Amino acid sequence: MRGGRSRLLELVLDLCVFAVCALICVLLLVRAGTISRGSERLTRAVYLAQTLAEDWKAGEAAPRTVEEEELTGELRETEGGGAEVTVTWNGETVYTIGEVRRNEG
Amino acid sequence: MRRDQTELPSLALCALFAVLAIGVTLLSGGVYRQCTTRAEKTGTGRTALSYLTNQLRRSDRAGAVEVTSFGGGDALRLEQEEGYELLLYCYDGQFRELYAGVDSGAVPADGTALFPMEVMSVRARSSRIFLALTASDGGTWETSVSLRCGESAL
Repeated sequence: MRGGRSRLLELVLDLCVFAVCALICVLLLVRAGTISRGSERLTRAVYLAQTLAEDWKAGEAAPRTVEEEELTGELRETEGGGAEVTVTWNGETVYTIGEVRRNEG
Repeated sequence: MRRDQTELPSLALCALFAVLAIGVTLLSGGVYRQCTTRAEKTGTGRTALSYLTNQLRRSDRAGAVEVTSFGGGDALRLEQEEGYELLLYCYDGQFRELYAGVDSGAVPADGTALFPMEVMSVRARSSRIFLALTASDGGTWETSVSLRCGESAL
């Protein structure tokens, strides 16, 4: 009887250890998924910001706001004659180009 | 009888253990597949746009860039050293580059396949070139390039 109980206790402990490990694994997987989605979002944000900056360099008017999928890109001119581009997702800044200058000549 | 009292809970625990293990394995597999697929898609889009942007930048000279049609779709014709040109286009589900002599008579299939891409759309307006790439899964990647040499490149 004692042997049976100790074996059962051992199994319960094993299961608890496994459950903790599984929980950590699931949290890591969720984190991996979040990072992966963030990476794609950042890549798209970089190209959106680049497009806005290139358009402004070529003479497009400012300020300008562009929506692309879930991202919102905003370009506004700064006091120094340059421009600043900010790309946001759900109000959170994803990517920024601090200083853009127009093509010279 | 005593033996039976512990055997049933033990089996139940083992079964629970197995179910949890299978669940975690399946979940891991699913998330791993999603992450790799997304990374591959993002990588292809980023590589394609970077490649096109850099090719445009290095050909940013007066009269060196031309938006044309080749392989049944839009194409970019970039002038290289004298007598040669670089054509960038999509054909047969692949993004291709074709380095050839001007009027060499090369056909779309002659180009070197660089990465999978279904459609390349190119529009030129003033000194700007709008590039849009559509992958086989329907995902699109867009960017705009402002040529430093102005309208004279086109």
